[in-house]
Amino acid sequence: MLLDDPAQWTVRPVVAPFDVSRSIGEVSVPDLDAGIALGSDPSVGAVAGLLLAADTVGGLERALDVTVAYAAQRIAFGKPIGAFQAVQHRLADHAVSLRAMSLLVDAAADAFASGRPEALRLGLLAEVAVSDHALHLAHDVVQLTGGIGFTWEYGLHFVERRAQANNALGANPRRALTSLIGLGLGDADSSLDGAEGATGDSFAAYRREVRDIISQSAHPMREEGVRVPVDDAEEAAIRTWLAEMYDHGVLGGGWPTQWGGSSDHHPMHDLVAMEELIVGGAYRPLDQVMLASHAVLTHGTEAQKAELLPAIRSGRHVWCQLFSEPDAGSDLASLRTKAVADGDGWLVSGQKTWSTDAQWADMGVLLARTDPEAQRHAGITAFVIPMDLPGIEIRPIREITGHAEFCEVFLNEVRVGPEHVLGDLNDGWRVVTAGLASERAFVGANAIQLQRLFDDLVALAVGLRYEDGTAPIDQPEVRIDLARLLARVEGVKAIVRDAVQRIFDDEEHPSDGPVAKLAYTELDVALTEAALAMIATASYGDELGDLVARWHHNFMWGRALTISGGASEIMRGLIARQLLGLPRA
Amino acid sequence: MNLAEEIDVSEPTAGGSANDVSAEDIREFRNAVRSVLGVGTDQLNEPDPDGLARWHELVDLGASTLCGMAEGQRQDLVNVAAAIARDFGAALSPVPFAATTAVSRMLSRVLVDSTDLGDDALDSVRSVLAGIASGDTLVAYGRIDAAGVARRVHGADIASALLLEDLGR
Repeated sequence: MLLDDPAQWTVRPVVAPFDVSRSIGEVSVPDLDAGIALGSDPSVGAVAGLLLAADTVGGLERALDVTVAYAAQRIAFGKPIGAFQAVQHRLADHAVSLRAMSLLVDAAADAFASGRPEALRLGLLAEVAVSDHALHLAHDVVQLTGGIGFTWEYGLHFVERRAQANNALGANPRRALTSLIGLGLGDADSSLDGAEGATGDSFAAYRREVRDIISQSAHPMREEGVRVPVDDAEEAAIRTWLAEMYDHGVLGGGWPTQWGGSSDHHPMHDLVAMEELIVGGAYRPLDQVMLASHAVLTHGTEAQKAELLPAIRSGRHVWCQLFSEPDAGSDLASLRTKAVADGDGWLVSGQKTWSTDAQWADMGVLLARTDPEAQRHAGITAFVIPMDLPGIEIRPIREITGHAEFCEVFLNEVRVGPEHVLGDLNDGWRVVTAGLASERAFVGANAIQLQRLFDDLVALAVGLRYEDGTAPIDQPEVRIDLARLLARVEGVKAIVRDAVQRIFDDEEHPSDGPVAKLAYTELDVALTEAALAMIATASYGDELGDLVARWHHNFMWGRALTISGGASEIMRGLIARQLLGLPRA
Repeated sequence: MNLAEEIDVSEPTAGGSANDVSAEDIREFRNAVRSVLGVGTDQLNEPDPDGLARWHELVDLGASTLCGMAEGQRQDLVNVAAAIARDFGAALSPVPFAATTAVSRMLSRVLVDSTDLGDDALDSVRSVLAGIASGDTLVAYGRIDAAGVARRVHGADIASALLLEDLGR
C-alpha cells in the first residue's frame, strides 16, 4: 500500500532507540483505506533487506579497516598488537566472514539486476549471513581495539548500533530465516546433479566429459579420506584408475604435451575434474602425487622427468611426502632430518611423520637438511627417493578415524645419490613451497563437498526421530539452524567462486588459497558438529545406519582437513599478513 | 559522474535483463558517492547531521534512479545500488536509501507492467517516482503488524511517501 501524503500517517520515536545515526519510528496509519493498493510484490522487501545488508557490510568493512590499522600501529609489550596471534587470528576470521557476506550480497544484487529467478533466495541467504555475523564482528572489533575502542568518540559503536538496527529494519534474522526455509533447504539451485561447481557453466562440456569417464570406470572412494587399499586387488584397481585418469586428461592435462599433457588444456580443467571426482564419489588423486609431479616438472632434470613422469601417468608410481617431522609439522622450516655428504652422495638420517600413503607409496619427495649451519629455510634440499631404499622403515599410524592412512618413516643412513636431488642443492624449500601453495588453492575444489555434507545433514534431520515420533526437521529451531548453516555453505562457495574468477582474470592474490582453505575446512567441522549434536538428541533405525556412520567418520576426518596442508592457525597467520598486512607474529 | 549518462541504460525485457554497467563504471561511481558522503580512509565517520542535504548532491550523480525511472526508461541497477549502499552504511548516512531505492524499483515496475491500476493511482505512482528522481521525495518502507502498526520504520518522519506491506492481516 502506497501513501503519498505525510498527513496520512503519524510517527512516534521507537521505545529504547539504539541506532544514533538515523531516525527510526513507529508508524500508525489512521485510515488504511486511504492508501493506494499496489498488490503484493515480495521483491520490494527483499531488495530493501538486501540493501540494508549491504549497508551493514559497508559499516563492517570500515570498522575492520580501522581496527586493522590500529592493530598495526598500536604498540604493546614492545611490538604492534597486530603481531600477536590472538589478535591476528580473530581479525583473519572476521576478514573471511566479511568476505563471505560481501560476496553473497553482490551475488544477490547481480541476480536481481539481471532478473534471475534465484534472486529472492540469494537475497535471503545474504540477509541471513549478514544478520547472523554482523553484530559479533562489530562487537569484537571493539574488544580488539581495547580502551580506545570503548570510547564514544572512536566511533566503532556507531557501526554496532546501525548493524543492530538494520537487522530489525530489514535483514531481520527471523523473517529472513523463515522465508528461506519456506523456499526449501536441501533443494534449489545447488543440487549436486546439476552442480556447476566453482567455475559456473564455463566448462560444461569438459565437466560432462569427466562425469562420463567417472560413471563408466571410476574406482570408488570407500570413505572420505580413506585411500590406502585394503588388499592387492584394490591396489591394482586403484592404479588402473589412476592411469585411466591420466589417459583421459582428468589428471595431468596441464603437463607439457611432451610429457602427455593436452594441447587444449585450460587451468580450470583441473578444478572441474577435482570437483567431479568429489561429487562422483570417485577415488581421488593424491595431493602428494600432484605436488610431486609439479615439483618434478618444474625442477627436475630431463633424466628425472623421463624416468618419473611416465611412471606417474601409468599408475606405476604412487607418491608420498616426507616433509613433516615430530617437531616440524606446520613449521616445516624447523626440520632436523640430516643428509650428510658421503662420497658423491649423502647419508640421510631422521624421522618423518604424517606421511600419507607411505606404506604403499613407491616414491617419496624428501626434505632434508644438507647444510646444518644454515638457518631455517636455507640449507634444505629436496630429494626424490624410491621408498624401498635400504634403511627406510615405515610404520603406519592409526588415526582417530580408526584407519591408518599416514605413517611414521624412519630413515637410518639411507644412501641417496646426486640423481635423487630435485632442484638445486640447499634450494629444497623453494622446490616444494610452490607446490604447497597450489595444494592449498586446490582445496577450494572441496567446497563442492560442503553442499554434499549439507544435503546429508538435511537427510539426517528428516530421518532421525525424537521420542514423540517427530523428526528434527519438524522443529523450528532445527530448521533455523539449518538455514544458518546453509547461508554459511553458500558464503564459502561464493568465496571459492570469487577466487576462481580471479584466477581467470589473472588477478590471483596470495591470500586466496588460505582464505578458501580456512573457510572450507572450518565450516566442514561446523557441519559435522551440527550433525553429531543432532544424532545425540534422537534415535535412528537400521535404514539410517550408513548415514550416521558416515557422519561419525566425517566428524573425525574433518580434523584432518583443518590440520593438514597448513593448519587453520597457519592459514589465519597467512591471511593476517598477506591480506590484512599485519606484521609477522 | 552521472551514472545514467555514463552507462547503457537498456529497457528491461518482461523477464528482466541486466543493464550494461561495467565494474569500472561502478568503481568510478562509488568514488564519487564516497566523496560526497565524506567516507574517509583513516577514521570512522560520525553520524552525519548534513546527510539529508548531501542527498541532493547524490541525486545529481544519479543515485536516486538506480532502480527507478531515468530519462523515461526503467533502470534495474540493484548491483550498483548494493555497491553504494555500503557507502551509506560506512558514512552512517541518515538517508533512507534502501527503502527509497527498493520502493522506487517496485513503483517503476508497477508503472511499466501494471494494467489494472486506475488513472489516479498511476498518476500518484508517477508523481512519487518523479519526486524520487528529483530528490524531493524520500520514501520510507515498513511492515504493518496485526495491530495495524509498523513498529520500526526508518525515515518515516522525513519521508514524503510511505510503502507499507500488510503482513499481519
